[in-house]
Amino acid sequence: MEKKEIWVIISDAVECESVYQLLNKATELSKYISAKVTTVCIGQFDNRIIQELSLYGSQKIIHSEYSGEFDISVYSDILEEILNEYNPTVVLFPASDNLRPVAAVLSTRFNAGLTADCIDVRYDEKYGFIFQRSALGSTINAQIVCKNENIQMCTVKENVFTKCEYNIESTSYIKYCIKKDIESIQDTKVKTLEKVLAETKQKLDFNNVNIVFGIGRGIKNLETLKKIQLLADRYNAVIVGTRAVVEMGLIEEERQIGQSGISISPNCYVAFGISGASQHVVGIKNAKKVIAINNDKEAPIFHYADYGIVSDVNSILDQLVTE
Amino acid sequence: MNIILCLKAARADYVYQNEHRNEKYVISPYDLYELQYLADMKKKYDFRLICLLMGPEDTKEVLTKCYALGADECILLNDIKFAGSDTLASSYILSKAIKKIEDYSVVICGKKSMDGETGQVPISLGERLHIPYITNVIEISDLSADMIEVTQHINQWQKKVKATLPVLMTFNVFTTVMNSISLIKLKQAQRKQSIQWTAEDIEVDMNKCGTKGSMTQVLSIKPIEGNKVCEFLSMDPDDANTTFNELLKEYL
Repeated sequence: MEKKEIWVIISDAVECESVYQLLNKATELSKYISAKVTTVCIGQFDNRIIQELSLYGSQKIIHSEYSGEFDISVYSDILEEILNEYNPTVVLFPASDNLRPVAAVLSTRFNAGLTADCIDVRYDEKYGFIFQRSALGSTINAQIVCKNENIQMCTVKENVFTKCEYNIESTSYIKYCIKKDIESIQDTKVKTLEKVLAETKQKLDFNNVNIVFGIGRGIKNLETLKKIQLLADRYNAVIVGTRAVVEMGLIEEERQIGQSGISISPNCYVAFGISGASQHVVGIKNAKKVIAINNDKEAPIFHYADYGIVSDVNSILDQLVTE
Repeated sequence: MNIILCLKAARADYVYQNEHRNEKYVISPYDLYELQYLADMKKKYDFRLICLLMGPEDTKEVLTKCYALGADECILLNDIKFAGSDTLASSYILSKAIKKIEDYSVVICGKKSMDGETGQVPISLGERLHIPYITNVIEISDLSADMIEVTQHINQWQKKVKATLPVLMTFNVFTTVMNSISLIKLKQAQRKQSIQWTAEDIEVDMNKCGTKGSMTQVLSIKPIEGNKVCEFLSMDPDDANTTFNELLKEYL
């Protein structure tokens, strides 16, 4: 009888870190159903990556050396073929720009459950595989199961899991030859006319910043912002803000923290005049120390703060920035 | 030419957590940009803008805004049998509605919804309609009876792409900033009737809708709440600086 398989998919070298992390989770899950941990690679991958896939837990590698440019239809068709042949129990996709849509396509074609942006996957005797994700701006945690027995799918963001070295000695390697004629799949209806490197706005590097000051609706004007800027200079802090202040025009969009912006995990976060709406706090939930200043003692931000100061932001700033 | 915009309504008190709003629902911030973008495009290109909204009965109030912002026709997909649909069931229902509309050149969706936030429905919909899908669109530069030219922003690339119609596209924008609507436009919009379709109207297979048609099932839902124990400090004007410094000094 064919052994069960748990798959991790990779479509681009940029997904490596994610994939190594998923392999660790796959290995953990494989023990419950005696499955083989398999990485399915679509595209060109050099020997170094193949070795690392083995190092991080692949017991088997299926490699379709497709050399063309990434295309959702083509990758979906290739994976569909391989899925039909091997019928894995669980398929883990890194939540990348390439594979998110591929996962959605395959979910539709196989009528198989797909859970997006999983924050955990575990095995339960009664329910089988339980996929956990947050929704509603991270205000709720949902536990989800698939009705289909095989090809249970999920996408996972980077750094949700951690990687681990397993050093598999006898990883089997299969070079997969696609039976379908690729040229016939290639989408002739959509043609790329030109492709340029996007003008990258200077990306703010939050990785090496210790102190971050966040501003919210309580900062009503530029006067107050100027005082915060002086304070930020003194402490070498970076200034970010909520969607509200971006829309007010007080700070640039690149500095928006939250559900529709970015997530940061600074060592110290000081929230000035931020109420603590879920869409913002989801962006700072991994901040180590949070200090909140708000004149409403019932403001939800205080549930996410280690230290709180109930006061009008302006009067605090006047005390701190007297010179 | 018909362009269909699939949109969702979001709870106003969820989108605007700090303000009191008169309405219960607003147009999802992931769809609002597209609606206004397309309404603006109508000045240059000739097409009918059809808004397709799947949701409970009371989300209908959102369609008045859609008319006011420039939609030509608004359709509400509403039926108790749709309740509990996951992304697979939802895309199935939408595909049946679009097949009923029959004549369309472009289907446009927002990146994701405010509640589920999976971003899976648009792609799944494209699959079911057997039309190509273009994701991460930032601009539409040309439109004719049989072709569209758009700019995509994916990873670090900006691609100019030309597609034959029909096609499905998703934008990747979020905005809560709505164009101002004149009182006259609003009154005109309020007088317009939106079409309402039930499961029977769009001839769905009941086994493919709602919880029956969903391949994922929610076992449980738990609210996540901030659970830090906050130490409240009083800031005496005299030692404000000292207190603040104490809090931050280890990070300097």
